[in-house]
Amino acid sequence: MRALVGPVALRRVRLEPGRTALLVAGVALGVAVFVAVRALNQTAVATLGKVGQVAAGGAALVVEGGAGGVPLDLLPALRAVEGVAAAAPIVARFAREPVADQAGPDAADAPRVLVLGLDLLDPAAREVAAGRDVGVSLDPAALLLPRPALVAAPFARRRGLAPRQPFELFAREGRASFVVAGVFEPRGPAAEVTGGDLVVLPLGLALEAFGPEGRADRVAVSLADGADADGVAAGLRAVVAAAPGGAGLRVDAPGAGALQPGALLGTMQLGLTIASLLALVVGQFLIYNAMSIAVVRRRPELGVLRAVGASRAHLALLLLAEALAFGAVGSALGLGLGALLADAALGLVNAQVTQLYAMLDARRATLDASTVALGLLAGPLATVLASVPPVVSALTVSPVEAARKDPPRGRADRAVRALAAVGAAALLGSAGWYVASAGQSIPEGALLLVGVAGGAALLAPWAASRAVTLLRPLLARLGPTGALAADALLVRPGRAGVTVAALMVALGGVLAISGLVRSLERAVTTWVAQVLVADIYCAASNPLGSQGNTLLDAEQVQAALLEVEGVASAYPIRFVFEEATTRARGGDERRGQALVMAFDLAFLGDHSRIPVTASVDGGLKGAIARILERPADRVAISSNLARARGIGVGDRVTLRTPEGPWSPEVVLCVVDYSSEHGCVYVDLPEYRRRWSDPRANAFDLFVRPGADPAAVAADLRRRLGGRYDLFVTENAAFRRQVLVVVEGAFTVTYAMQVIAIGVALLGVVTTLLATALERTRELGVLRAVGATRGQVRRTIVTEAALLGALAGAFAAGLGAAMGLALVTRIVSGQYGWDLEYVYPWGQALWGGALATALAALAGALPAERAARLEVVRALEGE
Amino acid sequence: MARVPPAVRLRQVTKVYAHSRVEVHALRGVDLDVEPGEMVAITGPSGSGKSTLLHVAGALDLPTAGELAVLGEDLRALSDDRLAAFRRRRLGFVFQFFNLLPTLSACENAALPLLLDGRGRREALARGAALLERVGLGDRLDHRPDELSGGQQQRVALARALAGDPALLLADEPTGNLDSEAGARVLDLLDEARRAQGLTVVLVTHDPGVAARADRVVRLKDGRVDQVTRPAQPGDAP
Repeated sequence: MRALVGPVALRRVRLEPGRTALLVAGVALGVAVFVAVRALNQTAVATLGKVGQVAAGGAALVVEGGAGGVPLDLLPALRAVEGVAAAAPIVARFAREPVADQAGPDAADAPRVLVLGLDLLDPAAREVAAGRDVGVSLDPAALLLPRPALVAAPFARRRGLAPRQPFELFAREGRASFVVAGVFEPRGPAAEVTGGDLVVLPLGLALEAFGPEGRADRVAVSLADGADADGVAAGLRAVVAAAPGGAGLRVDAPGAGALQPGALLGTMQLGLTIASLLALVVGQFLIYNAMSIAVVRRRPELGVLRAVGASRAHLALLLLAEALAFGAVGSALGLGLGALLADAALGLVNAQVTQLYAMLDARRATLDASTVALGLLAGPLATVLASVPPVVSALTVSPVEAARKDPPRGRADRAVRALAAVGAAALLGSAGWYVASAGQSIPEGALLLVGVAGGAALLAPWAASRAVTLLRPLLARLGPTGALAADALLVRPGRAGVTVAALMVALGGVLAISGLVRSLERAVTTWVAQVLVADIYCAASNPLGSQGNTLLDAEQVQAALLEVEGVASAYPIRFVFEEATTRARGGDERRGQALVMAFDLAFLGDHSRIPVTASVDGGLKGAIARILERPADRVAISSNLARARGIGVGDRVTLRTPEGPWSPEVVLCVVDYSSEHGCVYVDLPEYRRRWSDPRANAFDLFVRPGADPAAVAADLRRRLGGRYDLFVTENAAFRRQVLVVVEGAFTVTYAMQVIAIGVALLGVVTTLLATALERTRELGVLRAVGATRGQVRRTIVTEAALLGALAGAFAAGLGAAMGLALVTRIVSGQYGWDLEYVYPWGQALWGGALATALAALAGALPAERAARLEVVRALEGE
Repeated sequence: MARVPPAVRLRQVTKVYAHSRVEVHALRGVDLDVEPGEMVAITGPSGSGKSTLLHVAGALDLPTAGELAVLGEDLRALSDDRLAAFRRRRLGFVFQFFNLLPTLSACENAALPLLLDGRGRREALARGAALLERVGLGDRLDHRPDELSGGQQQRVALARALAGDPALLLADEPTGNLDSEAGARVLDLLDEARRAQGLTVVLVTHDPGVAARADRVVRLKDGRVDQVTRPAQPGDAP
């Protein structure tokens, strides 16, 4: 058997480079999308995790306090615990760099650096915090410089900085100046996360610049020789629990803190997971088609081999070995392509994660061992799986039949009907599950979507065949090319159906995501009109209030804003993800992140018309008044938090705060789309008191009666833009930006889906090449009886367009079903948003038209090949 | 009286196929005239160039060198599209393996040249139906090829060949895949059409019985005309 591999299998590769390239490209693209999506997901999660681990690599234990941080005055008690060798406080923040000649925050993509604040004067602490991870070597004399900063060599090179030179970063009080006290080579997580854009400040200076003062983000603890980690952890927990302000702190191994990045990324991961699944399904179809073309090409050869004594098993192994080889080569290429794709899409993921969840500045997508292994396995596995049906069909016929140049027809009908029955059953099952469940988790939802998409894909070949049968009389009126195009699809319903199914699934995925975006947009459009009532919005380092803002000193900046002529009032807003524990009425306790939004709640009652879903006294103002009466014991929450956690007015939500768990009563539920994790609204003074945090992410401004908001905004930009890196946005523009964020949340998903459509279109090419190959003699006859090359071309292009149009039409239905499930079950079940599903009519129409046009375009190559056939050779079936 | 030009005129026609690094000389300087209304049978052993000669005369392939005029047209001067139009309007083909399009009905197959020529569907199908009636398949209009016997399929192919009212009909082993009864029926229909329409026929055959029906038999050997004979015709002196 091995002797046949070279002459039979590999020589084909050399003789038919086009077919080989198509097959390998199909595998490579399928694997690339899968790998890229997985790498993006993992990079986001890992980078967020690494930010949490930065400068704690040398530690055995970490004391951390969530958003509130760890009070520095706990340090002596922590250091006194038996077995503790050193306890090193750490501050880690991202800061935007002012770019040259920047008069305001015009450079929205200005680079950011990671700023670490470390206790540089304590050698033991420095060893724990910096020795292994950051790689700082220090000349203590350098710290005598004013505002000294140790800068990583890549950052120094990029900025052209030398020792003793000053440089600026945006901090809580605007531009802050530092002096280069030394340059070091970064390593470990810090270098990985930042790509070398890293600055180390003495702890006190870091806290002064970025705040809040008196609190570190975490404390890294190293153990004395022979100390038992569990024992030390228990000792630390006892100290923490007994200390004032220590009740909210946790003692864990590094990286095992409360913030679980994977759980935080929510809809982004949902979108990418769906994209990845669909890409796999679509890729599998393409590989099936490509392998089937390979087998079609081989039929006569297989017949001859069988006639001269090769067994079916021999030939099956030969073909599967070839498939395996194609799969392996395609996988290897796909892995590289996936890495490039992931790198290209990384900027989008960074922006999306920063906007919605947490500051993320991943510089390079990383492929972990499992992704590499899965990517390398996916191609060969998919290729071999996809090869089985065509190989079986080629080998179950007699040698004489196989050797015939015209393969037998019509065998697929029964299989198509059987698959359709399975598909219909899957769709019915999915529909039943949809009706029976009120909401679903992401895994359940993914299963539901796979059920719908898989069912539709299995049904598609039969449905396509029925549709073409119905359309044939109409197409025949267009001339013989129309009828022949329809017939070509009817003769091999399996292959045509697979292509339709692949394109339908890819396009259906786009329409499902579009439906989700349209539904969110409609809900958010209504909501922003009711909620976003300020004349002007200001935020530092990012146009919207987001996790990418530089946190500003609220009082100082508020005062500066009020000094600008025309500004009547300025409301600071602080929001932070914090752990929230709830107990549903059935007794089910749930713990997870929630967005704590702290602002002057009177503002909510006085200015906004935010929709109320539940209130202690039936209205907005009354409930707000109740909170303001006892802000230490009452809060409002968003309706999606209430729904997702099964709680309501009268229940309590327990928030983790620096001073320990806080369990205020919920007196108001309002509609809010700020976070899929849900929001808890806390009166700002109460937040400041409990979290000891005087900073703000953003400010809502109202102008004086008669003042022109545009003129006031321009004045604000001129006077404060450059100083605080302040983005100043007027109301209408801000509303538009909010909608852009909704759309932007799915940019990466769209991008991956577009690639899936590209993969499906490659499927159109392979299908048409295969059918043209099988119909070589027919095409020869057509030419012999007088068809022009143009007519042959038109036949194939019409066939392609028909494939695209059918896929577009079916996708319109599939997209609706998947979109409905996504919006009304998965998003509502997972995030608690009660959205009304909006069908994306525009995209469906455009998508259908585009699929038809692109498929016709994809048909151009096979059409040209068919048109260029030599009549005599075609008649001989060669 | 002016001499009518031959329906097919070949002068020193050669055809060379290049297969990878090997050249195959299928025709090596063939001279042949086929007069209008004449039926010529081409015979010869396998590889002698019979089918190539038929393909060249039928505008399916062009010679490598030499002069070629069919029905007064210099085929070498025609563009590909004009060659296609020439085939569907002036020529008819009958193949050994019928070569019907499997997805089309018998009537659509018969009407195919007319449909390709842009005639109205109704008109084309009516003509196809009339031709099928003529070849005895009026009750099989909607049957697809795989629902017909070999003889019936070849009669559909003959109807298709006649659809465009051709002046020249080319047949490649038209009875080679049929039993003797079905073969005889096809040949009878061919004769009938030839008489009715004054068709010129060039057919390739191995069957001496089929060749005997021709006005002239041209025997090829190694790509050259080896022998030209006239079979005895009914009425010839014994």
